[in-house]
Amino acid sequence: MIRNFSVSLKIILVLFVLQITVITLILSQHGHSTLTQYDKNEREKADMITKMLLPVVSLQMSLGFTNAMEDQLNTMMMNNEHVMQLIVTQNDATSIYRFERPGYNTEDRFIEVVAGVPDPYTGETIGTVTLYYSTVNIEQLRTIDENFRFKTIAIMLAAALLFILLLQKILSPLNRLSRKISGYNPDNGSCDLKRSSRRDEVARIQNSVIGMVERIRDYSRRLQDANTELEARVKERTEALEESNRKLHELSLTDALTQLPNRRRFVNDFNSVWNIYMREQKPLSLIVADIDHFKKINDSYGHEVGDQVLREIAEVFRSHLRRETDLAIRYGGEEFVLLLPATPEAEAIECATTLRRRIHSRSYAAEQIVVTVSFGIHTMVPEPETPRQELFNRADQALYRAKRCGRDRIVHYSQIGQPCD
Amino acid sequence: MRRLTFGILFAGLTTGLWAYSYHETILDVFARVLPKIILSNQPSELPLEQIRICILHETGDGLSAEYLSHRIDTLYTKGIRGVEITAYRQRYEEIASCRDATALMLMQTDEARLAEAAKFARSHHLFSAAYRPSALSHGIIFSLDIGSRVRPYINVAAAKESRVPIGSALLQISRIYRPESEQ
Repeated sequence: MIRNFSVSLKIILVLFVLQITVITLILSQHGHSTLTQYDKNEREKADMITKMLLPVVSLQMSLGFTNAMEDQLNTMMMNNEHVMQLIVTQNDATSIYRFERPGYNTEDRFIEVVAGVPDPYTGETIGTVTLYYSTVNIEQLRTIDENFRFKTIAIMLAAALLFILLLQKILSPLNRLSRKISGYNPDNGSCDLKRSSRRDEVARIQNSVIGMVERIRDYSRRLQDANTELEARVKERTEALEESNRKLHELSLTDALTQLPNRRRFVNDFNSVWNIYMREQKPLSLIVADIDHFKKINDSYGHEVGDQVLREIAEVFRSHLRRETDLAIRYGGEEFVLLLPATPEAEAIECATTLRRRIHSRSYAAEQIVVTVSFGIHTMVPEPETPRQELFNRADQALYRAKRCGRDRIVHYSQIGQPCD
Repeated sequence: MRRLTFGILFAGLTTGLWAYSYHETILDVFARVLPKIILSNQPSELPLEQIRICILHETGDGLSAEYLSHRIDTLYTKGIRGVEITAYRQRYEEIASCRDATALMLMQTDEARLAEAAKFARSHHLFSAAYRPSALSHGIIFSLDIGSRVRPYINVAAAKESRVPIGSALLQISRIYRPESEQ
């Protein structure tokens, strides 16, 4: 039944139990103090009776009227119902007065007061008064007090047990709930909590937690689905982006008109090729070609024809390449470059000669346009101390020489010092 | 031996001359208690150095008075608490010479002399005691009540008239005299 009590009601019960314990303790202590005070009062009363007796007894004994004491003392003793026995003796132990209350039982407990009788005239002790004062009332009260204390202890023990039981009833569901909530793993959604049929606050919290766990599980599932979908989308987008980047990169290194690698590609690749052939100490040849009088073609047939000529010349260059390592580049305008790795000077000249012949062998742009091209060639084995632009500069100087010598010819850098043929 | 001598003289005188009869034991009680009662009834503001007991007697009672005086002197040779106790006897005719006494002890006499002695004690604020308890009816303060037991007999009114204080402890152990009109 107590399981269904609310936590607040249980706390009120705990406080009530505590209050009962405290009140019982206070009452017990109060009773004990009262008894102690009563005991003290009775002792003082016995002393006071003795002190009241002494002047009369001492005067009579001093005057020698010992037989006159009886009536007076009897009256005094009868008026004090707790005085059980009074004995007056002289110094020689002769009893001169003895009072004993009817029903006096020597087995009972007494307060014994013994006082010397001083002579009122000389101050000498002339006898002894012994008074027995009944403590039956005190003993009865003490018995009641002990019974009350025993009951107090019993009540306190019962209260303590009830206190512990109530605390356990309050705390154990909370601890159990805490352990189960701590053991909840959202990854696998495992939760030992079961819906409680109780009506207290802990049961309400437990049921709320179960509802929350179910909502979390639902949200987690939806979140996981969304995450999976998002990951797929991201993957797809990433691939598309990578493709776009690749294309963009490709575009950035390709001439849009001729679809040949452009100057940027040449600059990028040339450094790598230079380093490779410097390590391998193999010859590297570079052919710089320039369409002769290309401006006239533009001026005479228009830029579209000029562009067509460039595309067709570029196709000739591209188709002329024999190895994968060879690279044909539109360097700019009507200028093209052929980078021929591992190609000695003779092969480079032969390549240029074949290329020139093929250019001559056809017309361009469906206009029967004859196009000639001048070639400058240089071949060198890359050395660390040689500036890498030296290859291009010298090929360019050879091209310049070919232009000066009348165009449509091939000049190797080694032939620059020779006269034009 | 001394008691025997006094006893023989006492018996001879009281039978040989006209005199009142006295019981030796009662005289002994008077001798023992009278100084103490006088001392205990003195006002504390007037400390005494000496208690003088004037024993008044008829001519024929001289020996009894002497016996009483002698007993008091014998019992209180060292006095009480530093107070000297002296007793002396005078005949009733010489009562005036008891003017400087602390207390009067009246031996037996006729009622007229008792009344006169009581008057004298009142006028001089003296403690008065009498051998016969009946003397209390004449205004004497103290006597002994002789019954199944001996105890003090006090005339509180007379003590008040004589301005002699009576201790409460003494009153508790005493029989209090009441005039016949009050009984």
